[in-house]
Order: sequence, then C-alpha cells, then structure tokens
Amino acid sequence: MLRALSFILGLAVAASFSTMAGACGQLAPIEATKPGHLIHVRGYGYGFEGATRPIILVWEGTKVNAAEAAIDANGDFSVEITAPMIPGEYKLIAYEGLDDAAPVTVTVRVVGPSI
Amino acid sequence: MPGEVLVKRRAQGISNSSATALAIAAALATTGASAQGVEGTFGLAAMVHTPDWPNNAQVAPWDGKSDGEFAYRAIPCAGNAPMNNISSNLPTYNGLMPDSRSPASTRSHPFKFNVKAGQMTGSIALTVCKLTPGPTNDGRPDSERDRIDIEFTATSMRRTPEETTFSGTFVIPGGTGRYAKLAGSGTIRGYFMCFDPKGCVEGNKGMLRDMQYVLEGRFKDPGFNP
Repeated sequence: MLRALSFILGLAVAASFSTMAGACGQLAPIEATKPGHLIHVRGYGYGFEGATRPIILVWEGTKVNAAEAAIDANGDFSVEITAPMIPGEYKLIAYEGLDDAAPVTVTVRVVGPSI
Repeated sequence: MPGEVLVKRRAQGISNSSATALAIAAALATTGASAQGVEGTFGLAAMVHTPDWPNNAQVAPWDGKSDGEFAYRAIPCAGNAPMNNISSNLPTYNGLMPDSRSPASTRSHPFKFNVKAGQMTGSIALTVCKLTPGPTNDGRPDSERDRIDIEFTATSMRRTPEETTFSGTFVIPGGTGRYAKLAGSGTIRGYFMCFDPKGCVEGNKGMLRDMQYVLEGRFKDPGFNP
C-alpha cells in the first residue's frame, strides 16, 4: 500500500500538468464551489484499454489521495469529495490505475470566505 | 482500394534482370538522386476532446452553430486512447515504412477550425506517436515527434443540440521530419457530440465537447526511399 501511494505521488510530481493532458477518460467540468463543500466529480470514457482499474483522484501538489472510485460497466465513475478549505483555484488529477502516464486534470474553483 | 500501393522506380519498364541491376547500380552511384517514391490510399479514424474546459485556454469547444474560432485536442501519445492508438495506416505508408506496422498511433494536436455560416475551414496537426499501435512510453514530448499537416474545408449541419455533423475535403501540404515531402488529398467527415453521459445540454452548457472524425484519401511521397 505504501509502495502504491509513493508511486502515485511520484506520478503526481513528475507528470506534466498541462491542461491539455489527459488519458482516454475525460472529466466533466466542475462548477465553482465554497470552501469545505462537497464536490461531485464525474468521469467517463475510462476502462477501454487493459483491465478495469480504479480511478485515483489527487489534488495537485498534495501528498494524499483525495478519493478512489470504481469505473462502472459503461466506463463512467462518480464520486463526491470535499473542496479545499481555502479559496483559490485547484487542480484535481485523475489517474486511471497506477500506471497512467497521461492523467486527466480538471480545475476546481473555490470561492467565498474560508470556514 | 485500401492498401493499394505503387512504388515507383526509375528503372520502370525495364524487365531484363541485368538491365535492372545496372539501373539500380546507377541509382546508388547518384547521391541524393533516388527516384523512389511511394503512393497509396489510406484511412484514419480519430477522436478529439476539450479537456478541462472552460479553464483550459488551449481548447475552445463549439456549440455546433455559432461562427468563430474553435480548437479541440487529443490526449498525449502516452495516454490510453483506444481509437487514436489504432488510428491510421497513413503514417506507415501502408506498412512500407521500415519497422512499422499499421495501424499507427496518432494524435490531433490540435484540431482547430473557423466557422462562418456553417462553413468550416481548419487544420489538423497530426502528431505521429509511433509507427505501430498503442501508447508511447519513450518519454519524448509530443511536440518533438514527426507531424503530418492536414488542411480541410467542410460543411456542417446541426442535427440536434447534442450533435452536429460535417463533411468536406482535405489536402496534405506536407509535414515535419520524415513527412516533409508528403502530399495527399481526400474526404473528411465527422460529428461533434459529448462523450459525457449527461450529454451536452445538461452536462456541458450546450457545448459539443468531443468530436470523432474519419479521413479517406490518397497520399504520395516522392522522397520515400526505404
């Protein structure tokens, strides 16, 4: 488990975070939210190549996984995570399994006073 | 006729084996004067997307009806892209390119176009990821890979708020690297839609976030000399 986590963190650090990057899977846009509120993260187009792998969501620049989600039979996933507590613009990265060399990124805007 | 290939030779028409050998020897002795080339037919099927819209300045999805400038992009060559990883036999020159095997892996980086009253004028920077199927794992940035340039004009038709189709023609004016002398032409058609299961209207503010297109055409590269 520790090895898997460190691998993911390594990817998070090494991967290019260019917003044009992405795997086959895509992420739906996320509306601006308030600090600490729940965010609904939706993805689609996953699981077409290789075995079905879990989706691992990581906030850019952090060392913890925000969430892990399973892909359904249509290649979709849906999961709720908590928005950061400090207003700002954040990048949420979705890795398809542990060997995703081109993860997808979606921007999350957190607005309003900190709570 | 898919897969039809004609390799032109300077010694064309000479059937005598010794005469052919002499012609080959002469060709070898003439530096840079190889008369070999290749031409054939090809197909391509690919997808493009608008990742992280509306925060990504490098993409601009179309609503299927407005005039303006729009841009779609493919995923990186390193990504698992089922369609783009097995997209075409053009980069391999029908498999004649050394160490190649169709279908080759390509990416449209980007697919951009202008729309005026339903008429589309655009270009595709077709990055050749590798001459065999699948994603890359060599660590090279896509911008450094060989590229095939494609220019097209097409007529679009908005069928529903969830789909707009288009069809037209394209030309290949050249490319970079091994495709510098490539030329070609053919037909292009495709459709804009939303890969998102919620669709374009409900999930994406009416924007057609994704597109799938196909090319069919002929190519010619007088500089090809395997």
